[in-house]
Amino acid sequence: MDKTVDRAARTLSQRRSVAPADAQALPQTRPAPVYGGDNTALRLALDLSPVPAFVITGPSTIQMCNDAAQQLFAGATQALIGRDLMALLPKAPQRASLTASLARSGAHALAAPFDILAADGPISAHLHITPLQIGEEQVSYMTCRPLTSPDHSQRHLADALNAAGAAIMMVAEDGTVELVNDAACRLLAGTESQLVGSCVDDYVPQISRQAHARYRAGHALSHRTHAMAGGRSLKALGLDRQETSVEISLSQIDLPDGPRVLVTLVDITNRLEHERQITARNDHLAALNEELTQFAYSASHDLRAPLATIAGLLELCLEDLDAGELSETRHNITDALKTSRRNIHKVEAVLTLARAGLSPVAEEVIDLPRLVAACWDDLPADGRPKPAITVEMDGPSCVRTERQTLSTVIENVLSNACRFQNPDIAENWVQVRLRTLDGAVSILIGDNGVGIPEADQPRVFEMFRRSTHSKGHGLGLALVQKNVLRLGGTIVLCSSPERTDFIFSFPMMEVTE
Amino acid sequence: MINTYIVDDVQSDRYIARRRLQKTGCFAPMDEAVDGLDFLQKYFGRPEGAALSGNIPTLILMDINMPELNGFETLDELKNRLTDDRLDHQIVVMFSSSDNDRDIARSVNTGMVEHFFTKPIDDFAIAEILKTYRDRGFL
Repeated sequence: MDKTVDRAARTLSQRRSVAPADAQALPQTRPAPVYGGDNTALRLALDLSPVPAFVITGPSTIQMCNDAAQQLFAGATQALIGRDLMALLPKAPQRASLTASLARSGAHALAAPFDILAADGPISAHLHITPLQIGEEQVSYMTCRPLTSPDHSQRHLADALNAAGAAIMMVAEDGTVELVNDAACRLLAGTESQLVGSCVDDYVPQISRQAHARYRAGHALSHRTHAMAGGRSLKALGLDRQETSVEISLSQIDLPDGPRVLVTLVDITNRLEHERQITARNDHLAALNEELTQFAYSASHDLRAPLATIAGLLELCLEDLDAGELSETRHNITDALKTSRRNIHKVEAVLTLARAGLSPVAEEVIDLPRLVAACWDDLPADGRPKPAITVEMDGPSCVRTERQTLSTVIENVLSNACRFQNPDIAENWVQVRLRTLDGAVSILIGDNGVGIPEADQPRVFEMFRRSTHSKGHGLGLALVQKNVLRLGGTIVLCSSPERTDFIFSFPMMEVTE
Repeated sequence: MINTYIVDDVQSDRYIARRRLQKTGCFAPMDEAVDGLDFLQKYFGRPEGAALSGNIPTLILMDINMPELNGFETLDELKNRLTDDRLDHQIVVMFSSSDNDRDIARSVNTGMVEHFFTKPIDDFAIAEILKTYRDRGFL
């Protein structure tokens, strides 16, 4: 906009004064146009300028200015006309730079923003200088575009950028952030004034900052639009030191004073969380599918096994009957009956395992030591004395969980401890340690029974996996695992010749006082 | 006569196999193992030179699903412990209650299993086993 105003100043001067016919088309390298001594055109140009504008004479004296300049740099009371422009510049290098610019021929913009003392305090502003010759006098028409006070076109641009959902930054080749929209301010936890003028590398996490500076330099040469880091998710570092997952695309735009990179940042935190949830759900479904496959395999194998045995025995019975071997026939029929009766219970156990975790169970407050005691009391003696049991409780004794689900876990492990006692030991024992300290629930059930060989430990939770000593169906620990998983828990098994420990951890179980 | 091992954790299944084998009069001595470990102990615990009966390979009837070592794990261990010169001193027959494709493929992959039969073992299966011995000139 300021360049347009500069042109307007020249055009107006041409109409009212003796100006060369091609004055407005003069390239910047040509000598400043010569106008008559009438300041009316300059006055009009100053008044039309939407940004602060000055006419400078001599080395740096403010000869004229518009209301915007008066208000910004001197307020309502002080005079600006007649003052030395350099008095507004607190930095010596910038004063030297401006002095040199005022002496230059041709209209030009000063590259970096200048720090200028405004009436309300220091501001940063872009300066543009157009040398003019009024009669015999050499003057400079200077516009001042404060960074904190964008002109109309910038305001329109900012409005447009703010309407975008993504965070957008415009970055110069040297990495200086020149423009940000509201979404970028939110993403980087800073105000526009904090972000504009800073280096874009500051918003890259420390670990990638050096690499980013190199890539940025490379990008300046490539002049192409592309996704940053090949579309991978990146982190943007805000001024609050918080990192946000983002996808970034870079577009090159060419402005009159040089190329810029338009950086679009899309916050993908929610999308990543959504993807994580979908992945977790897929993993869960895959686990269920694997469980179903394993169940189908085991069920087809182990439920067919007794039927095959019964069929084999009955075939022999028929042959023995034909041969008149009644005693052998009776013996085989008895075996077939035993097999069928025993496997009625097996089918029931398989159905129990299949149903575990299907129906919702209401949670209730449970006293853990009492639950263990009840499970222990309900265990059948099975014709031999139970081991001696000790129960220790560290922390509050009550938790909120599904009673039947947890009972099934404890019952099965205690039952194994009873059934697999070591006959070579005089005193078999079972130790139960319940811990609810710091809100973390863990249950250890240990015994000094026959133990589980190391080679078998990884597979003890598989369906139909039985010990040689077992008369069971090999479903108890599969049921334990399924119920522990239902409660969001984990199992650790440690077994040595001295003792066997099942340690259950339930991080999601609520401890109640 | 074919030296035979029946490896199965179910007593009734061992009995059925024994009866079927006895019927032919070709299988003796017949030993039984209640699981893989029991089999390995018996197989490698027998006196040196008992591996072959008149140069006829030993028949091993192996169940798949057993406690401790299952049939495949037992065969793995058997292969590990057999010296190269004894690798062909046995014919292994798997017999299982299901004809699951995965188990059949796994049996083939052992490189040791000659036949895969579903239970209950019957006269047809025994005839197939005997045919294998005949085809190789052992009977």
